Order: sequence, then structure tokens, then C-alpha cells
Amino acid sequence: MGDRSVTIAIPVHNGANYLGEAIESALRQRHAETEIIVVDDGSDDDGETFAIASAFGDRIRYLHQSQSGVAVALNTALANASGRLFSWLSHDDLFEPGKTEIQVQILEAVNRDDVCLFSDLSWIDAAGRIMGEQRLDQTVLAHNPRLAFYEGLINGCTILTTRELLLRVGGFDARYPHTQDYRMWWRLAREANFVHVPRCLLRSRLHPDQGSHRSVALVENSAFWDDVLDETSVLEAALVDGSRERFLRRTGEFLRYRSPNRRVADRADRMARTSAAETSVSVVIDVGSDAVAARRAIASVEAQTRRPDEVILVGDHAILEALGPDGACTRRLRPTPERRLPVRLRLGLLAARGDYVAFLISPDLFAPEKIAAQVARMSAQGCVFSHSSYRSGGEAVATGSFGGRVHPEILGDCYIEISTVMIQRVLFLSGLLFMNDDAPLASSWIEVAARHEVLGLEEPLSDIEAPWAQREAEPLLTWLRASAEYRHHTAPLHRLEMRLAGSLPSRRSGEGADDGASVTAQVPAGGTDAAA
Amino acid sequence: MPLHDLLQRLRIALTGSPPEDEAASVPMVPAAEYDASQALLTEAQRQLAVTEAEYNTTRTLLIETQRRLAVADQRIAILGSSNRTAARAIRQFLQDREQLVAEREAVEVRLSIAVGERSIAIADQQRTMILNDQLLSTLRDHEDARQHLEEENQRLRRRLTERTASVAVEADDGERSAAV
Repeated sequence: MGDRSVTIAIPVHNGANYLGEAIESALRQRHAETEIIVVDDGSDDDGETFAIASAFGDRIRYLHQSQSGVAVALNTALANASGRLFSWLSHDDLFEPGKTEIQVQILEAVNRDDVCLFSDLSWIDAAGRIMGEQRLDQTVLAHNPRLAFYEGLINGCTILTTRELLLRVGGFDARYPHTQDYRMWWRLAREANFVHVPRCLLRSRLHPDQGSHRSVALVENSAFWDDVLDETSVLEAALVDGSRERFLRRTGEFLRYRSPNRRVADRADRMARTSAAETSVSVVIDVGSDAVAARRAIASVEAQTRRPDEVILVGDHAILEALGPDGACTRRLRPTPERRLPVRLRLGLLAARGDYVAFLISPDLFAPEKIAAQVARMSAQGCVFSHSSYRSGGEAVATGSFGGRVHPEILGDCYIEISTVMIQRVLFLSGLLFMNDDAPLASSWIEVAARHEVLGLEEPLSDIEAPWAQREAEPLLTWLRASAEYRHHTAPLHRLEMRLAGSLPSRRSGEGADDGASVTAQVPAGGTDAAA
Repeated sequence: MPLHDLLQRLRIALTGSPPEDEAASVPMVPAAEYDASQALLTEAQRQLAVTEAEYNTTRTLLIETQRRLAVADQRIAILGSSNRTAARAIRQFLQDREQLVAEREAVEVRLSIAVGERSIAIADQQRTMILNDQLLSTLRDHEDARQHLEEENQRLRRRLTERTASVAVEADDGERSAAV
């Protein structure tokens, strides 16, 4: 069979009641190159299932095995299929006539062998009457492809994928007769791509004889979700829900309200409560050129109410030698002769192992509660980037109210200070921070704000000697003018120009932004205007 | 009374002349019978009038029915024509519907492709991030190992230098004591 050939596998055990309808729906597929394999999983109904299947003659292939479960039946179909593409139909469900044809068109256009399509579906009762529909939000799934798995939205009988992909990830796991499908989707979610087709292509039958309603299935289901909670890494959780805590809370809600797994839901909630405290934190410190000031900066980190797991010291070899490798926190030294701050910070980030990373530029200092407060808020809200207000020259500078969706506002008003910033390391892995050696630091904040929400903490959590953002206004304008992506945002750029020209007063608390987001940043005396 | 006789009597009553037998001065019917004939005649005239009235009514009804029938025929003709138009419209509607369904299907497929490609790009990026993380972790381990080796190396060098220095000092002392 050719590249467009499809095998529809119908595993069945004592399924004479609905098998005929299922086979007919498979035979009604408009797609020409379709093979139908019925795998009889040891039916013992006096030949009724066999009789139904036999009635279709050579229009289907009939395979028989001793009763071994759905997973083995599907693997039997996989091993015997001649189609390049593979789909699965439960003996009690029905395909819509266009299912295979539509999905083949999409797979052809996407032209990847690591894609698994799934679709919306309608529910039918025992008599075949439509009772409702499951229609998913395609936009949400496009932005967060793994969510389909973690929200339990994939029905195995809506899928179409290559047989080779299913074999490559090891086929269906026969050890799990009731969760073999979801264990397969879990592997595929990690190693392949789920693509949603926004159309009801399956009629899924709800009836009291379903195997998934049995208590043994519920026990296996709970064990599966326990495994998901334990084996989903902090990074994966952050990719799905912004933070591990949010991931655990959402999974707990899903298990509590949309599946019968109350025990695992309770466990997820318990894990969520301790998640922020258990997460690891690194602090990247640029030691600058003054060893004494650097010692004060390091001391402010080591005096945190919640100590970080490590500090990464980046700077001149001589200064690092003077500071030494030992301290209250594990120190990692990254000597470099490089003077450009983005390069030094990148070097620090490459060395950082923590799930959360804070930055400190000597001679700036952290307030004692900085790490505890910032990690707790980021973890609870699922934010990958945060900054806070700060103190400078003995005064509080309220930049922390600058938060939320701040793009493109941030182009004209970026008051984020590097020594107030904390990120989740996943943000660095996405390649948004400090990738341009000569760009101002604010360009990284802009790149982040264009894609993520910014969390602003209003309490001043850092002491800053000379605010960096003010010094960067001019190079930032130059960078923005040269940027193909941002130069067409004329209003915020004009605002920045005017600020630089000194014709606009600095934004003080209570002033509204003229193009959307509310900004209440205050700059210290002799702030941006003076710097400009 | 036979019908023939009755008609004879009617004729006499109407013409006023007796039949030929009567002209021969032989009265054919008695007066009572004559009166009865008159009554019969009156009754017949009344029935005739009733029948005529009924006839007229029926005729009027017939004309009205014919008119209605013509109107109905006309309506049937109009409806027949409308039916054909409606059938054509339904056929057209069904064709349009089929076309729209096909277009909708095509749009859904295109949308799925576009969204799918975006979704794949994001998933690819996420997998790259996870791989980068693993790679960085390996790099960090190597870096730590390198640093550890460097420190060990430095420590050994220092020890070697110290030993060399102490050996030199011992040699100097030996030479000095030998000289003494």
C-alpha cells in the first residue's frame, strides 16, 4: 500500500452488540486506501463476535488471539497492518465518514513523521443518539501542545498517525490493560507532536458496559496519574503551566473534577503546597571590579531568609580569587575577562542549575526576604519572569507595579532593573535572554515581554546604587530603531525619544500610560531625564 | 288513472275545448274528476315552478362551481409552476450546501494545517529547550570536573614545588654540614 494507506484497527472482546456498526462506519470512509483489521481478543460468546465479523467477508481482515487485553490486540494490529498510517476504532464507537480522508490531507500537508492527529468528538448513547460534543480550543492547544495530554483531552479513537511512530516509541504497553493508551500519549507528548483537528470525527459511545468503569481500571488509572506527578520534571511543568506549583494545582483540579481520582488529586494538592519551598534557586552575581563591594553583595545573598542553592560569581579572575570559592552557599566561579554585561550574565546562566535564577550586579544588594518573596509569587502565579521595586539613594522606586501584558508599552517605558530580576531557567533555555552581546539589557526584557506576562512585585526587594535602566535609554533607542521587529512601534519609540530629549517628565506614580498598560514607575532623583 | 287519460284531461283543461267525443255532446268526464284534474294541474304547475327554481339554483351553483374550478385550475397551474421553481431552488440550495460543506471542510483542513504547524514549531522549540537543558547539565558537570581537576593539579603542583624546595633546602643543609 502507498503513503496514503490507512489501517483501521478494531480490537474487540465479546463485542457482538456494536461491532457491526463500527465496521460499517470504517467501511464508509471516503478515503480509498483503507484496510480494516478486526482483532478478536479471545471472545467467548459462542461465536457471536466471529459471526458478526465474518459477515463482512473479505472486506475486512479478521485476526484472533487468546485474551490478552487491548494493548496486545493493538500491537497485533500494528504488527499485521499494511497501511503506513494507523488509527484505532473501539468496537462500540463510530467513525464519521470523512475522518480518515480529512486527517490524511492534514498529515500530508504537514509532512512530518512525528505527528499524531487527534480530533473533537461527539458522544452517543447505547442507541446511537448524539448526546453532546467535546470541542476543544484549538488556539490554546496550538500555544500549549502538551496540554492536550495533561488535561486528558486525547481520545485514542480520534487519532491518526504513522504506524512507524507508534512502533518507534515501543507500541502499546501490555502491562497496563486499562491505561495503555494514555501511557502511549504520554510518550508521544514527549517525543512527538499532537495536532488537534477542530472537527468531530468520532462518535464515542457511552454505555454502562464500558471497561473503563470497572474498579480495577480506576486503580490502574490512579497509578498512572501518580507516575505523571512524579515523573514530570520542573522544566516540563513550567512549559505546560508556567511553574511546577501551577502544574500540580491544575492537575489536581483536573483529577478532582474531571476524573475519579480523588486520592491522586489530594496528593497533587499536597505536592503543590510544598513546591515553592522545594524548588532550587541560583543567584548569578556580577562581581564588578571592587572586591569589597562584591563581598557586601554576596553577603546580602547569603543572608537571605531563604538561602539560594548556589551562587555563580562571574567576573575578573583576580576579583574571584580574592573572593574565594567558599561561603555560606555553594559558590561556582566563572572567571572571564569579558566586560560586556550580557556576555557575563549569559556565562553565569550557563553555569546556573537552579530552577529559578536571580541576578545581582555588584555593588547592588538584595533585601533579606527577596528570594523567598519572589520565588513564592512566581511559583504561585506560574510566571517565568519577575522584577520588583527597589531602593536607591535611600528612596523607594516603585517600578514593581509595571507588570502584566506590558508589550508594546515596555518599548517606551522600560524601568526594569537587572538586580531586581528573577527568572525561571526555562526562560533562558528558550533563548530570549542576553543572546545579543552588544544589545542593551532592556532588549532582553522587551523580548520576554513580547511573549510572556511580566510579574511586578511592588515591595522593594533590592538596593540599587546606580540604576542601570536609566543609563541604557539611549542605546535602547538605537537598538529599537535598528530592530526590524520593533521599529514600527512609533508611539512608544516617540515617547522614548521625547524622554531622551528631556521634553517629557519622568513617569511618576499615578500617571496613566497613553497606549494601554498602566505604568506607575518612579525614577529616582536625577533619573532618566538627567541620564539622558 | 292512466297517464294518457291524464294528459287528455290536461289538454282539455288548457285548451278549454272538450275532446271530439264531448263535441258530440257526450260528456266524457264528470265534474268531480275535472276538478281533480284542475287540482292536479295546479300541483303540477307548482312542482314545475319549484323544479324551475331548483334548476335555476343548481345552474347558479354550477356556474359558481365552474368559476371556482377555473380559479383552482389556475391556482394549480401557478402552484405547479411554483413547485418546479421550488424544486429547482431546493436542488440549487442542496448544491450550494454541498459546496459550502466542501469549502468548510477545506477551510478546516487548512486551519488545522496552519495551527498544526504552529503547534509543531512550539513543540519542537520545547523539545529543543529540554535537550538544551540536558546538554547544559552535561556541560556543567564537565566544567565542574575540569575545575576539580585543575584544583587538584594546582594542589599537586604546589606540593611538588614545596617538596622540591624542601629537597633543595635539605641538599643545601647537607652540603653546608659536609662543608662544616
